[in-house]
Amino acid sequence: MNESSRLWKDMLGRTLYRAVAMATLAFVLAPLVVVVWASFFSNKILSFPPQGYTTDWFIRAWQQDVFRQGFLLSLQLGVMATLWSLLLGVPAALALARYNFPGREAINAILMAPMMVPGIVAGAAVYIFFIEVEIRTEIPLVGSLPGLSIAHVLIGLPWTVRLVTASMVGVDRQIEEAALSLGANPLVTFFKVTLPLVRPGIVAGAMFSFIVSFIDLEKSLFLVGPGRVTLPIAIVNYLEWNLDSTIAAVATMQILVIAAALLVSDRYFKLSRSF
Amino acid sequence: MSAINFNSVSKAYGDVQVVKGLDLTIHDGELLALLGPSGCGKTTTLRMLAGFVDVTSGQIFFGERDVTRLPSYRRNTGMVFQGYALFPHMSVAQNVAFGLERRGVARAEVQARVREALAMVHMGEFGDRLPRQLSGGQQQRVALARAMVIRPDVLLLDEPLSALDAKLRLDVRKEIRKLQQEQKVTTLFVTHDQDEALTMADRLVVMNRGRVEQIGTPEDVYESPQTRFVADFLGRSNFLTGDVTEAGVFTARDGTRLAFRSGWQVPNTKALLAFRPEKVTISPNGSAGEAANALSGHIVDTLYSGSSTEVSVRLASGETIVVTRQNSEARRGDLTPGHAVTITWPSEATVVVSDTSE
Repeated sequence: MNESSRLWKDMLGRTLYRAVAMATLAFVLAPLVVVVWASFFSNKILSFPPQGYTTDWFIRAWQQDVFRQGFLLSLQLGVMATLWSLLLGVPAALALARYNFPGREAINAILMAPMMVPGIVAGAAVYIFFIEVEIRTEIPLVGSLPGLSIAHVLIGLPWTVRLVTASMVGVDRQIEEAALSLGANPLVTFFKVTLPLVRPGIVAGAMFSFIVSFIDLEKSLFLVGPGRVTLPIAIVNYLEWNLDSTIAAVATMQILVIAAALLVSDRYFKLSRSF
Repeated sequence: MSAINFNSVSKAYGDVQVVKGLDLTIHDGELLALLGPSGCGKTTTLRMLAGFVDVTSGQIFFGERDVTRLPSYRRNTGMVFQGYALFPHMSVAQNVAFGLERRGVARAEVQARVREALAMVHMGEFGDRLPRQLSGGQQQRVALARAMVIRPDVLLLDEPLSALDAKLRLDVRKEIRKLQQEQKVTTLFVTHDQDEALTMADRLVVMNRGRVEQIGTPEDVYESPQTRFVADFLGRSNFLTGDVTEAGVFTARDGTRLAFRSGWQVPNTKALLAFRPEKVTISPNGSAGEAANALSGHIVDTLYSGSSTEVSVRLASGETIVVTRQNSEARRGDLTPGHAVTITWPSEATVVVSDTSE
């Protein structure tokens, strides 16, 4: 092969590579861009093309109780799910990554299960379980805030377990042994050495717990009570009777919250390192 | 500082005995090297001393103190790992200060001792750096400072040089040895590199299959191996099969009587005569002179390796003897394969070992 045809082939390859990358990016971003764009349309009914632009939909969305309260409830659930899944997930990940004990694989599978089982099935299962518990103990779980919170912890847990385990495996055991030999007891070793080293994994796990809880629809559908509706459910309910840009405005706010969370955490801890 | 004692220490993983009834003393201030092939139990021995591995039976003493059931963080050992194992999120100074802070040493004293320790390993300028900004040799020197600053009862070196490149290895080796002697710190050094063990150790221990094969000064063990394994593992050896027929006399398979210095002295037993390739002289056939031990044969092969040439000589008995000839010597005689030669070596460089270990 002569020099110029090789050069030409190289260039063709690079161009093709770029084209595929751009096409993929466009494919991923297009729905988000369209939603954000549509949230500023002044059309009465969500339609194309836009007749003008307005920010009214954002005000209208905030003025509706279901959206405002849904947003706050989802925020509250997300934070709670994140905290509890860290509290349970970090020790679990530590045990799974460090020790070989009977039933280790089984426990790992159980902790990961909420990610594998379809949300609607898991939601129904949790719902039935809560009813059975309620019948036997008379503790009101169905439709209660604690019940909903427990379900949301289950949504976040696989993410913290998986991501923290991954970063724990990457920590050289010798580094912990060095701390022990220098006189740090296991607790001090954990807080002074292990924890700082797995912090990126913990932050990533926390972020994803929050996000999957914040956007969860299927599990929550079974468990919300009267007057207590999460944001995704409020969106679905609204869409049943209305089709205007309020919904696009709400979705835009949702996208902003998630994007902010990801950007901030990536700024301080390179999330890409924990995958 | 104190002497370390292993009192018939054993370690088993299930049915597998890794260390079997180990009795060992590391004298106060000495550097003891544990040498052996992988899987011989040397690393397990070190890790039992550090407290990372439980002892199945037996006791370990630091001086008078029984540490057998003490967790590693109460033992006061300074450990240097093969992979450095510095805390990556702490600066060099913070790494060195870590052990002192755990001991509740006052802040001002911590600073002074950290400075002193870093100066000791010539890393005084690097206190603010992070480990990843240092080269391998620098990291290992910091690890050494971190282990020594706590004034440990025993310094544990777990193949500390094997991650370094060859030239650096020699430098760090000298530096570790110098510091160890200056500070008179009792040290256990685990290695599979016999050069390291021979050059650094006050005494060395050759281990094989969970047992001690031989303990002694490097010279003792090299010059007077007691078993076939030691003769073969430490350096290289020629072996001749035969019998000890009377005290100090070994009769080879072809009936030649050979003299030896020490070793297996029980008459009328099957034994192996061992001698080092570099102790043997090659001369033209028939010119044996006054040497104590002489055998004739012919050259089968030569291997030139720069400073020396390795010559293989096939004896009349069919056994092959390897001879290392320094290339600085004036060339005496022909080394062409097929050439008939006489090999001679002194009886002081000859030992007899039992033939049981293989």
